[in-house]
Amino acid sequence: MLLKMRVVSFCHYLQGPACTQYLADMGADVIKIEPPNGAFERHWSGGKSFINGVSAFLLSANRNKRSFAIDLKRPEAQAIIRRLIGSADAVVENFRPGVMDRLGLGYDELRKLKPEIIYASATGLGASGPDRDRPGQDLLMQARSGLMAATGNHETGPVAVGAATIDQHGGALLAMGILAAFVRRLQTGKGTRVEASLLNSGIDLQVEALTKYLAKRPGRAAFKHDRHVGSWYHDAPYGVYPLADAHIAVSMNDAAKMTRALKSERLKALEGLDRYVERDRYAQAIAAELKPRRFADVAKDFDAEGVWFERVRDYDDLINDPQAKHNHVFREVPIRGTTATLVNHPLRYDGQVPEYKGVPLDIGEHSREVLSELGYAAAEIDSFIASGVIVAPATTD
Amino acid sequence: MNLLEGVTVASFNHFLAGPAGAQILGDLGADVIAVEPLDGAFHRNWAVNGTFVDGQSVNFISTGRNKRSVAFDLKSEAGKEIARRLVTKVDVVMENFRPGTMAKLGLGYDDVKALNPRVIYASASGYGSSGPYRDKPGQDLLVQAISGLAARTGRADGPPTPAGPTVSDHHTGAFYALGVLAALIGRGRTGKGCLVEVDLLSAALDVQFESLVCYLNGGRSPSSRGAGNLAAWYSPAPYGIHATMDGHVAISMGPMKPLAEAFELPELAAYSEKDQFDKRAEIVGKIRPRVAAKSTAHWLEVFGRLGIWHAKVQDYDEVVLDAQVRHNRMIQTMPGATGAPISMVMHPVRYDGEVPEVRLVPQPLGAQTRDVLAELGYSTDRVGELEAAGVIRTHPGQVAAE
Repeated sequence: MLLKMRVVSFCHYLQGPACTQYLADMGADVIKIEPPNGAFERHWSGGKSFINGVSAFLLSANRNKRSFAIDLKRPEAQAIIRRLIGSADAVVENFRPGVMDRLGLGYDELRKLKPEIIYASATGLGASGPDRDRPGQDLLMQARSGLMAATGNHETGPVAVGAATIDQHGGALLAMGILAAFVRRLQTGKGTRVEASLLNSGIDLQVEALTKYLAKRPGRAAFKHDRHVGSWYHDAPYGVYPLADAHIAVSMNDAAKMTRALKSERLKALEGLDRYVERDRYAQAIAAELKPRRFADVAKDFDAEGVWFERVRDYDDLINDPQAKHNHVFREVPIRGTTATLVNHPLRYDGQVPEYKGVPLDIGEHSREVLSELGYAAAEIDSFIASGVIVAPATTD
Repeated sequence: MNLLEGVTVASFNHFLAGPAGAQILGDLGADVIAVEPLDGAFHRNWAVNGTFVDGQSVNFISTGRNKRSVAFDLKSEAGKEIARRLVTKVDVVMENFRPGTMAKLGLGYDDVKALNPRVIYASASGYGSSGPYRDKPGQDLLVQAISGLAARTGRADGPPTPAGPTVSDHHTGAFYALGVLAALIGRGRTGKGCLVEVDLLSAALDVQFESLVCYLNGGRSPSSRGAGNLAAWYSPAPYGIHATMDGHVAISMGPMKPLAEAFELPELAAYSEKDQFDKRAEIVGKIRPRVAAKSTAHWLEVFGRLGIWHAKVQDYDEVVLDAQVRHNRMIQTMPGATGAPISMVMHPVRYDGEVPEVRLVPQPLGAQTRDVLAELGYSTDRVGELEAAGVIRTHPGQVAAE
């Protein structure tokens, strides 16, 4: 879909690489700029997960990109990188504010070079403002955006969401913004500066919850609730309950339905309850009913009444989940003589999963190819590599 | 600023993820026509635990801006004719009914494509348009349960814990808009339309892909959730939330040396980066009592001075007052359609430094029925007949943002 769109990606960590991977999946030619010793994500992996030396973190957000390794601090690099950007539609970067300016690659500079450029920045907290220089990282923005405070319950206190949801969402938002700017450029020829931040992403993940909060400003007390209740702002029974043999998520369901499904006198007596104001009392009654029961029995009774519920699954269950398989959400790919498993792009276009074209396993794997496309002669390319301005794997022939 | 000038969208959406995706396109300048039944879309009449602002549902306030409201009876023949004219004319049709519903109304992808060959048709569903879960209720909490997000959140010694807010819905909304934009670009090049499909389950996996790819490729830990104060199963120490004397502080990634200094525990400096993962419970055990012994203000000063990545855990009242949140203009309050002030969370991306403007606050039901029908070629007399026959619902007029 984005065939012929060229994106130069000065990105590291997760938000930026996730953004450019979404674009690459959709067909854009994404050129990942890396320092001579390789991007951060080649050397680090959460949970210390490496597959034959390849970081799972690298694999998670760098497929379908080409790797171009260059020492941006060398004076010769400027001309090369400017020629590359001259050939591109969009530049994406997630350095701290000011770093690209110091490299001579800030928006104002590049706009002079190419007025119609789309220049996209992913920052931690914003490109300007009082805390623009503070470290922006998923966990910290979970703390700052209220996402932690809104997760957990009064026994646990604030709880971090156990995945980097703000990074991922920030990447999706930046990709969305780039595409909107691209639609404008196709119509008007104008470039756009696009900015996303982790802080705004963390807030965007909570639009419903925050809008509800802003309407009533219920204060800190609203966040204190029974451990079974799944959020501070839904009516009970919304939450997660232990069964004799599993945990079950029970969504929004009316009281009469719950009484019928669980055939419970205790619940019948509570049917008139305000299930928000007295959510703890109602949740505790539901918990008492569910605790001794087995999942198979509960599922049968809940299905008969149309109760909205699901068994809580862990990752191993998910791998075998029939709908996940049907949706082709996972993809096994060959990596250095073994197999790695990736999570596919989440959208389907005309029923198709975007194709997989590989992950650049070597630093600068496509340096030669990209330079050649830019019109550099083989001898020039060799001299760049010999002098260390450009890094590329040794040729085998 | 109007990036999607001239792009028209017919939105057959309700609940949360669907209207959120359509609102993103409206924020960006598309003309989004929200098609509602005569008694209004679900999220106009329903709000989480019944929270309304001067009669307007908070869910509608969440996702209702920058759209025009058109109300008609999709089940009547005359209503179906209005819908057919509408989908013939627009660039994009978006819908998030249960799979099969639009086809029953004569508005499935094949029907619409026959009327409008270049159409971009975007569907959001709970689990996909086919497959074993196709007809299951798709709701955020349930998807958190299926996707592992609930199982991977919380404490190792506690139960699975869902993320409090509806994160799967909002991530789905972003992809819903993203897919439409990609298809618009593709159409600009090829002239061809596209069926774009998004579902809550896929989005809930996408929002965990770092954690999942680690797991899928052999990353393991003794428990599904973080031990002690650690944020997640794959976190190294001290990555997590730590209780202070009077609150909580999050400590992110970083080397041990400054932590040894901050906590006056020289032995911490001896732990390597590898130990931060392998001996994380031991490290957190040493840190925990130190953090708890002093106030949050104390730690903010110490961590700031030593360059340790940290943040105070803020509650919503603090988020609203947060200097950077205000600078970013993420939360805005303005008079809504009834004149009473409404507070909205704004579009999160900035274009040339600007926040997309609010052209239309969430509109009264049917505020633009007359305008849109006129644009579709219905005469004033015909609109009057349709209203008298109970096929459409109108409202005196749109309410512009002040």
